[in-house]
Parts: sequence; structure tokens; C-alpha cells
Amino acid sequence: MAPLRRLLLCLCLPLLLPSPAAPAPAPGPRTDWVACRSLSRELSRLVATLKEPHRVLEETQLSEEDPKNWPPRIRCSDACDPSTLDTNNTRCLQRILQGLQHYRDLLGSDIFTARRLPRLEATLDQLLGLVQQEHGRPPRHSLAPTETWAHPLLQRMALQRLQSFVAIMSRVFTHSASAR
Amino acid sequence: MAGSSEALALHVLLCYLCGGVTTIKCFGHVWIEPAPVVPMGSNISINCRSTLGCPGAKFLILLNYSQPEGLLHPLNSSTVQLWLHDVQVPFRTVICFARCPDSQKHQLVCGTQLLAGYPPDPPSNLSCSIREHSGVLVCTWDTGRPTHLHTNYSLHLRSMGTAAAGDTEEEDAEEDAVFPAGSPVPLSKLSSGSRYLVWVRANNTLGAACSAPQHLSLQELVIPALPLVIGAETTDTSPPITTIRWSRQTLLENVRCEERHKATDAPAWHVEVWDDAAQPEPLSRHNLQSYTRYVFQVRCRLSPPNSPWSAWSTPFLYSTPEAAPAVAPDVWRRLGPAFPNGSHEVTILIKPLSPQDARGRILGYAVVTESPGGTQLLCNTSSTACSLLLPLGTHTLRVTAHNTRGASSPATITLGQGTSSQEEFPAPVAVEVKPQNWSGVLVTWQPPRHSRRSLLWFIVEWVSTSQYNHEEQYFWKKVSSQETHTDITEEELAGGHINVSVYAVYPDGVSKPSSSQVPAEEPLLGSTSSHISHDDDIGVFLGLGASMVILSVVLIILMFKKSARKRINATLVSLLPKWLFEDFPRMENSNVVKSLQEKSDFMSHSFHEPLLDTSDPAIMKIELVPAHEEYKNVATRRKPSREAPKDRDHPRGTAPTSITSPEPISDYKPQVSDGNLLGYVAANFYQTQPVAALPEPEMSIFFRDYTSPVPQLWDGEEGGHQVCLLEKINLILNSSRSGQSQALGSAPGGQGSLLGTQWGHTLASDVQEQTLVPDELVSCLRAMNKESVDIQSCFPQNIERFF
Repeated sequence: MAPLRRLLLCLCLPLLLPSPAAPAPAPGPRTDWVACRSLSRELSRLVATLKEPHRVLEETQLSEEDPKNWPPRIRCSDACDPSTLDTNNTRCLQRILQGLQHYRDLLGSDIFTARRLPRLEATLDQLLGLVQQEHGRPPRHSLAPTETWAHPLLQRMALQRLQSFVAIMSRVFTHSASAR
Repeated sequence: MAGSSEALALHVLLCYLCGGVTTIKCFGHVWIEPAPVVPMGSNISINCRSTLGCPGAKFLILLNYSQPEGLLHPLNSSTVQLWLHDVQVPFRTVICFARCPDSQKHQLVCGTQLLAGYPPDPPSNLSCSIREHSGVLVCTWDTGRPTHLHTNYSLHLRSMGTAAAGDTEEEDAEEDAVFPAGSPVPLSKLSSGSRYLVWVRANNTLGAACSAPQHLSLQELVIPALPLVIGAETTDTSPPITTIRWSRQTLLENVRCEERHKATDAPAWHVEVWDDAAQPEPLSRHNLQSYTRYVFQVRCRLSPPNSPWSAWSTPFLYSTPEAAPAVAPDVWRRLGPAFPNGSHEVTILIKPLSPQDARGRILGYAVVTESPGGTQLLCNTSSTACSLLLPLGTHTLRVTAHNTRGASSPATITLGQGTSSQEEFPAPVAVEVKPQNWSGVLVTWQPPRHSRRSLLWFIVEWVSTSQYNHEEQYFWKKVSSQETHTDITEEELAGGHINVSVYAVYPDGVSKPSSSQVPAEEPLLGSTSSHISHDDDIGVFLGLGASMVILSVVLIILMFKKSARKRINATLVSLLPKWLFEDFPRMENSNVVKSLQEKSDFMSHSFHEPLLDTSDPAIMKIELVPAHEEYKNVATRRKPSREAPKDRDHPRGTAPTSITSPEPISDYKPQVSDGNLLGYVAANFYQTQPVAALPEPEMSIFFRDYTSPVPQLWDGEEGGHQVCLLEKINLILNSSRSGQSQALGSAPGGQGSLLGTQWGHTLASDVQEQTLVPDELVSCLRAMNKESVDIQSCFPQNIERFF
């Protein structure tokens, strides 16, 4: 099943790339970069201050079933480098929006039922609201239920990924806020 | 087209992400034997097989994310087993990790969950009902002991019209109507008659159980609709009657209802059965307390004894209106001074009525007197005390309480105690006051003897006098004539001495008081002594605080007043033994000094020669100490004293006189020649200045002045601006001159002139003062000197050089 998914993904990804002939959309004038930067920093701070409730897990290594595609990550092809951001940030923001929505869905899923993180959710919601103003609201997905025993493991993994994602996202917002 | 392809791709991608979003990769398998769901108290084994493929992997099995106590038993190179005995925890997560020898972290093998519980008990107390107009059958039952497992409950109904209870299972399966728990059964699905056999079945992983079957008649299960309140009213009669009006809602016949009510703050209900439940507007009448909030509820059922009761209806709240106070208030009087014209002052005291007796909000109290001319209002007040000046002859007062609905019956106060007093109105006897476990006092008395009149009640009054401000607090209470004792609570004692009086009240008079005092040391000892000790504590704390403040002020003055410090210093010096201040070793015992003294005459005539004396090897050695270039230069200049003629050109011609008088030298410091270092170092700053030959005895004198202050000051300025170096040196010199003047003063007058000469040189030539810096500073300067080349520009001489 995994090879089939990879193949499907490879087929789909090129379609996501804009055609070279298509004119580059103008950068979103209404995006509040300063607020995005502030919220992304707050998000980074919140994630960094979270403590692993089960200390034994700190010495463990967890792997995803398909690390390439879970969860959404900012890649080089997402045009989040400073030079591209100055000219066309649409693709980068789309990826950020996708990732934010994904993590928001995760925090609201059964994985975090026993460990609600309301401040994290609220900050994510605020940031989503800012980015969605310009780039629309992606469809929300109800995640498939997971086995109870795996919830703490999935929580740890999701928060680790979120921390990495937020770090890169913060750089994007910091650059965009300072460039304007 | 491009946009649609993007949307399609995004959708496929998101679906893809959604599908794989919560998968965690396992490197093996974890299973529980005999099963993941076991009866409570079972023995189980947890097995973990790794597919990491590394030999010698270390396994770790966590139960609820903590390590269990048992040991892991290896089954083979890739599988371990953990035994658990007598499992008593309902739910546990089981996670297995393995760490390869070449890895620092544990890798997840996999996980599972362990459930322990009980098979279900047979459900009991099955009860079903159909609310009128609802159209659904609702059943409830007790589940018994918690199973700790997911347990399904289902309601089974079998129509008695088509199958008997003893039919075969196959037929039962066809005829039974099964409904899941928690959802009502629509009557439309029960069309096979009105009589049914009903039971509940419970099942979980560990087993199943059924309740005892019951016969149901759907007609008898109907709960009639409850009547609604349409009004309530209370009559003005005495006693007032409250009527609650209900409106019938049910369409059924043979309905039986009950009504209950209580005051909202009362614990118990009053339940009444309605006789006229079939009436379209049933009424309920109650004799209720006025000015009280009540709650009313009703429930109904059909007449057959098996018919279920409805739940009690929604509470209906009603407040009864006010009524005139039910009883007269308790009253008493406190007699004041009598005046020559026969009038006397009286304070009327009134006890507030209880809410039940007040039957409304008391607006005030009226005090009247009855005279031959009629009733005269003396006082109308809302407070519970009223002071009056009564004319001579006033014997009886009447007090009433009133609210919006009227006045109470009057309470009578008889002012006279009778002329014959004790015989006419005998007083209580044997009044005693006893302390009661620190929580108050008990007042006891004996009823009056030989009383020909009927006793109404007793009045106990007491006056509490505070020991500290001598304020008096007055208390009183009415005691039934049947009682011969009463308690005075701690709050009523008011923490002082009390004087208790007991009166006997008769219909037409009051006895004289029988008094007793609280024993001085017994009842109030606790509070009194505590107050005393409290006062003592306050005094001690105040004294301590004042002492601390005074001491602090004195210390601050001493710290900041220099003259005070000097006086303390002088006092200490005079008090302490002198040997503490003597210098050791004694300079006069030094061979160097002796030799110098022997040659003093020669030195006085020949200034160039004494330093050429090589008889003192120590001096020679010190002169050979290597230093930087400037040091060498200066040293070579100084040694032959060839610079002396230049010095003679300066006003410093008096310097040799100080050299020829070494007597005041009391400090022997062979390292004195190091003092030259300062000159050399200082010469770094004054490179353009000519360096004069420096007489060594002078340095000895001044070295004695610089001991401790210098390093401290220098340390304090470590890393500071070196620009102010000479200023610091001057400051040190100045302060040391003031502080160490005794050392200088002990020298003959010639030495004083030497100092003056030195400072004179300082003004005239910046070079000479450098010889006054002690060793400690020299070392610091030398250390600094490596970096101080650039700093030279800060000094005036450098500026001169630039010019």
C-alpha cells in the first residue's frame, strides 16, 4: 500500500506546481505579517514549553509509517526561501496554511482527548484566521480514530513535528514582516 | 483547466495525508495471552516480538507508561515475555520497546491494551412506563456491579398474544422485539397486542446475563399528564388559608394524584392525596405560615396498583403574604435616675421577634401608657430601645410591634417594684454564677419563696464591664417561670467582669433584683489573662522596636560622621595596649640604620657619597633587580647621583637635610629600594620629565604610611579608568597624611619640612611626587603599565610632549 501511495503522491505533486506560463499571483496585500510573526513566535514558545508527561518516552525513538508525507512539511519546492518570498509568497503560504490546518485537526482529534492543549489550539486558530483571510479555508478533515495505547506516542510525535514546522514558519513570517 | 487539475491534485493529496495521518510504525508485534480482555484477577503473559533484526536487543515493556515490577523472560532472540499475576487494574496500555546494541534510543516494537473486568450481573429493578401523549415506552433498570468493560444492554419484548414464555428458542428469536438500551421504544412497533413479556439482556466479552422476565400491560404503564398550577391565593382570615389552583391535563380516567409542599428552608415535605383529581380544576388548601416561601409539587398515576407513579412535577414556588405579628415582643426596662419632681428616666428594651412570630417585616415598635385620660403614645421607634422620661405615677407601659398588616398584642412593662417590695413581689434567691468550660457562664437561682402571686417569668440581666476602657455593656433575657437557670454565652460576656441580676416578673409588678458577680478570677480568667499577656507582648515588641530604631540611628550617625569615627578610633587606641601599634621589626636595630647613623655626619657634608656605600649587601641586591627599560634608565641615573647637581638647581635643596636625619625611621623595609620601581613606572607617564635622584629614607617614611588602604582602593578600581591614576595616588597621599599624621609627626621638624618640600615639588615639578607611591600601587601600576601606553595621552605631560 505504501508504494502505491508514494506513486500517487509523486503523480499529484507536479500537478500542484504552477504552470510556468501562468502569471505569478500578486502577493497578498492584506496579510498581517507582523501579527503572523508574533503569533508564530508565541506558538513556538508554547510548543517549546510543553513537557512530556511520560518521561520514559524521552529516551525513545518513534517512526511514522510514511515519514515522507506525515505530516505536511515545508520543503524546498514550497518556495519559502527569502528571495522567492519577496516576489511570490502564495505557494509558501498555501503550504503553511495546509500545515496549520493539519495540526489544528490533530490537536482536536482523539489523539489529544486525554491531553487538551487549549492555549496551543487557540493560538493556532488565531494564526489560521490570519492566513486564511488571504488564502481561503482548506477543507477540514476528521481524522481516523486511533488505538488508545498509541495516543501518547502520537501526541509526542505530533508535537515534535509541529515544533519543527513552527520554527520554519516563524522564519518565513519574520522575513516577510521585516521586508515590509 | 490548470486550476481544476491543481484542485484535484490537492484533494487527492489531502485525502492521502488523511489516510496516513495517524499511523505509527511498529517494528514487531505485541500480544497478550490468554486474551487482551480477561476476568479481573487473572494471570496473563505479555509477549513482545521484535522485527528490528538486531541480535542482543534489550527489551522494555511499559504498562501504562511505567515499568512493571516483573522480569522479562526471553523466549528467543527476538521475543520476550512478561508475566502478570492477579491483574486488578481494569485498563492498561502495553507498549514494548527494543534497543539495539548500537543504538542509544529505544525503538517502538508495538503496543496493545489490556482490559480486565467482570461479566455483567443480571439487570434488576426493571421498570417501564409510557408517558401520556408521548407514544414511546421507556424502561429503566439497575445494572449491578460495574463490569469495567464495554457492556451492551438490550431490551427484549415478547408479545404474549402470539408466543408463550416456554416456547422454543427459535420461535423466541422470531417473536422477540429487541431494542438497544438508551433509546425509547416507539409504541408503533408494539402492535402485537397490549400484553408483553419484557426482560433485559446484558453482554460483554466475558459473558452475558438476563433480568427476570416481567409481564407488562401497556395500558397500565401509562403515566397521566400532570396538572399545571394556574393560581394561588391566601385569605386575610385568621389563620390565613392558602389555596393552590391546578388545571387538569390528562384525558385518562381513574387518575390518582398526590401533592406535596414545604417551606423552602424546611427539610420535610407535607404530602396530601387529592380527593378531586378527576375535577377539571382541582384545588388544594393549606394553613401556611405568613411571609414564607413555599414550594409545591404534584405527581399522578393510574389507579391500578401496578401503575407507575410519574416523577414529581416541576416545583411551583409561592410566598405567603404578611400578617400582623403573631405574639407580643419580649420587653424589659432599665431604670435611670429619678429627678426631684418625681419623674424618672426609663429605657425600654425590646427583643426582635422571630420571623415566624413577626409574620412580616417589622416596621417599628410603639410604647404607650394608659392613664385616666386615655392611651398616650410615648415612643414610636424602629429600634429596639427607647429612652423615656416618665412622670411620677406612671406604673405600666405597653409595647406593640407592627408591620404592614397590623400590630401585635401588647407586651406589658410594670415599672414599680412595690413599696413593700420583697413581701409583695418576692425576688429569686440563691443566685449563683458558675463558669462553664471557658465558653460562658451558667446562672442558677431558686424561685421566690412564699409568693402569693403567680409568677410570669424571670428576667436575667447582666452588665459586662471591660477591664481596659471600663465600658459597660448591658444584656438581658427573658426566662420562663419554669426554668431556674440560664446560660450566658461567651459572646454575651463581652470579655469583662459581669454583674448578674435576676428579677421575678409578676402581673402587676417586678421584684427587686437578686444579684451575683462572676468570680473575679474564674470565668473570665482566660480572656483576661490573655489580654494581659497580649498587652505585655505589645509592650515588649514596642520596646524592642524602639531600641532597634535608636540603635540603627546611632550606627548610621557613627558610620557617616567622620569626627565620630575618629573619636572612636582614638578611644580604642588609648584603651588598647601599645604593643599592638608598635612596628616590628624595629628599625633602630637594623644594621643598615645603624650604619647610616654612623655616617650621618659624613652624609651631611657629602650628599653624593652615602648611596655609594656598598657595605650593605641588601641594598646592592635590590638595585640589581631587573625591570623594564625605563626602570633601568632611571636606576642608572640614580646610582651615581650624577643628577644631584641638577637637583641642586631645584628648590628641593632641603631634601638632603631629611636624608641626614634618619632617626624617625621606625619601619624597616629592605624592599624599600623597590619603591624606586614606582618612580620608574611613574616615569613612564612622565617620560619627558627629568628624573631626580631619590633619597631612599624618604621612601621609607612614606612606605610606612601606605599599608592597607592602597590595595583596597586599588582593588575597588580594578578595571577602572587609569586616567585618574595620579589623582588616586594624590588622594591616597592626602588621606594618608591626615590619617597617618602621627607617624610623620613623630619625626623631627626636619621631616615635616621634608614633606612640605615634597609637596612643594609636586606643585613645581610633577616628577617628585611619584616617589611617594607605595609598593602595592607599584605592582598594580606595573601590571597596568603594559597597557597604559595609550593612556599617556590623558595626562598633561603627554600633551606637552605632543606640543
